[in-house]
Amino acid sequence: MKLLPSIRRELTLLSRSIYFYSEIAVAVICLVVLLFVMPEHFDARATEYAFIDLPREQAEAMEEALFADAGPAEGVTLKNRGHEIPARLYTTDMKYVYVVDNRASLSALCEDTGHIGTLLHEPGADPAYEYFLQGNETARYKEYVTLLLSSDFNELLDAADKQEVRALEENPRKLADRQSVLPLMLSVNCVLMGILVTAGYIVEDKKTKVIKALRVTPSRMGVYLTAKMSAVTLTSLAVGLIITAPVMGGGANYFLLCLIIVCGSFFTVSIGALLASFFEDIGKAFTAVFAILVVLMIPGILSMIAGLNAPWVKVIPSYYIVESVKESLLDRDAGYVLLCCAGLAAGGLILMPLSARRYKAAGIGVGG
Amino acid sequence: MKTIRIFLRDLKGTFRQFIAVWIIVVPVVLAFIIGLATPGASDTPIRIALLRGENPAQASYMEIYAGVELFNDMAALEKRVLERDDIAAIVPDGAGGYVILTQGNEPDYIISAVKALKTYWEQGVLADPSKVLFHDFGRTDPPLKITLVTALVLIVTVMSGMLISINIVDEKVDRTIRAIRVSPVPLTSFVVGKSLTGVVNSLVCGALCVLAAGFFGVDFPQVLLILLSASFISFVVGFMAGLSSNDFISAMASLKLLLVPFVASILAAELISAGWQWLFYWSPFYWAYDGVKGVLTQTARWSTVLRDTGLTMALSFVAYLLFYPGIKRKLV
Repeated sequence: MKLLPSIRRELTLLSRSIYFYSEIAVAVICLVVLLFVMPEHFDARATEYAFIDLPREQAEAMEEALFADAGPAEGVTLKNRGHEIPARLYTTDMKYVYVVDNRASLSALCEDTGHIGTLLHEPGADPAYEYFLQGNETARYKEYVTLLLSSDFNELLDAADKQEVRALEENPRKLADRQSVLPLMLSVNCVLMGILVTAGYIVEDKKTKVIKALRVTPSRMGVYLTAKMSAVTLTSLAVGLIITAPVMGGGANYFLLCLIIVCGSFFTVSIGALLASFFEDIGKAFTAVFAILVVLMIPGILSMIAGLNAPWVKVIPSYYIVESVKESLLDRDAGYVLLCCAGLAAGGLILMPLSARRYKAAGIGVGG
Repeated sequence: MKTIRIFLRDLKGTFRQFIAVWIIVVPVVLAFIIGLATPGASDTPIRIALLRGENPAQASYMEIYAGVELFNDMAALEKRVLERDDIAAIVPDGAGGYVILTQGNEPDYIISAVKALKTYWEQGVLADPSKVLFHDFGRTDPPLKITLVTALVLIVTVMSGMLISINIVDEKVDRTIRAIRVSPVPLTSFVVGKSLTGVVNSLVCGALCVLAAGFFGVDFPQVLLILLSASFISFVVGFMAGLSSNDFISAMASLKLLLVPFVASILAAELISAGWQWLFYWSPFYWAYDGVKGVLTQTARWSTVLRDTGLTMALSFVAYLLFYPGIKRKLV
């Protein structure tokens, strides 16, 4: 029953360390960035360039017809290769289109910016369109573009509008753009970093012979590790809530969120503790932590790429942390979150006794 | 010369340990996997789920223009539509026609594109290749691969900074730094010499990641220059965090604080509209990210590479000048 006093002692020590205050500072900075710097909705409009290769009057008429829904053009000057290129900017729901006045400018802008360009010839001509792509577009993409330009879409617009669409979910919730950063932020900052912090704590205790001192006290290695891990986990939980509550308001399921942060942290700090058992100095431990952290960060980074479904990422355990954080924020699939929590907790329960056994059996860290 | 000798000795010692090789090998293997696994992006934005064998002609038509996934039954098809990415289904409506099935949270442009494709199929429209002429610049690397490898290269930079700071703190904990005070080696030479391992790691590992991911067509002098400036960040970050911390946990705390501008800069570069990008111009990470991405997309010209490199190094140096007086006081 020495666990609770040990956790209390670790928390007291932690609250006196610079680490604790830096965690709070990081949380506050993240919050300020989310609330005041990051726009509520990201601008997902793509940039494109266009040139209408027709006599001036015809070109103007075509431009007017093409961008009738975009509102008036904004006169802008683009800078490219030391030249100034006059252009007219049209802002549609999906794109920013810069219309330039010659083919050379269109080609140079596409080459230097990596955006797509369209050159329009007289309607009915073969070809009526030239597309400037980058080279990574698939044959299917080109077929799709060709299909769209092979008939007068306006004629088919009525039929397309009448297509019946049935949604499987009546009112599916979706994270606002600003909120969509939270799964990455919480999983990396509050959960994954636990590996690094725990490994750092334990290796430091090895260096300062605290672990050696444990051998002459009635305290058990399991209690020592659990206390360390609990202190780190509770700090992560506090930081997570500081960031989440003002951004999500009452919209998230905080019980599930706390549960996934605790279970995810338990899993990651167990990895940190196990890794620390293999190394006598932090430099060596860090290399191992570094390698594992890089891999575990991948699902978080991929979660920021809209519409991506990469099945291979599911073999990385942190995928389930990121997805569970998202489900908790959306207050959606509680069963999935609970299942992930159980899996992560089981992983932690397997790893932690392994670490304790390593420290105990080999007297690791005792030799120093 | 003393600095270089310390660096070479440190490097030799580091590479005797297998684990130190691992720190280079893991990101490189990861870059290799990214190179293999990332799909040919800029594919058609439309992905459609259909029932297997229900209408083979429709499936064949759709496969020309969209990514098609076939399912044996409605339950499997609906399960797929409910997954996190944006995929719509076209299924029989029970009255001889077809209906579009969605999860309900897909962006409008996806729905419009599926509606258009279904309409084109119903009207029997086929692509006419004579209508469109395509040109390209021979850049075959997909954008997703470029984004992931750019982020990986910068993560390597930050981690190398962490390695530097941990090496310095390790020397402090072992009291080697105290011993150095009574040796003919200046303290600065010792610390800089110890830090160069991290810089070399950042440079070598970054370059190997670029190669392992299959970016053979990029301008390598540009890659090396931008990596050099990025490794300068790792040097400054590691140096500051290491000198200002007396134990590992303080070093971790400093580094976590430094991770905020790192993550914010990448998110800003990827997600924030051009009009608001200026908010992050103060961050060297922003310019390093811009530089690495520009080189990998092969859109960077020497003028932009020199601008990104110069700003990355200058802003890192300004940060160093701002924080060094406080650190120096601590050291004394």
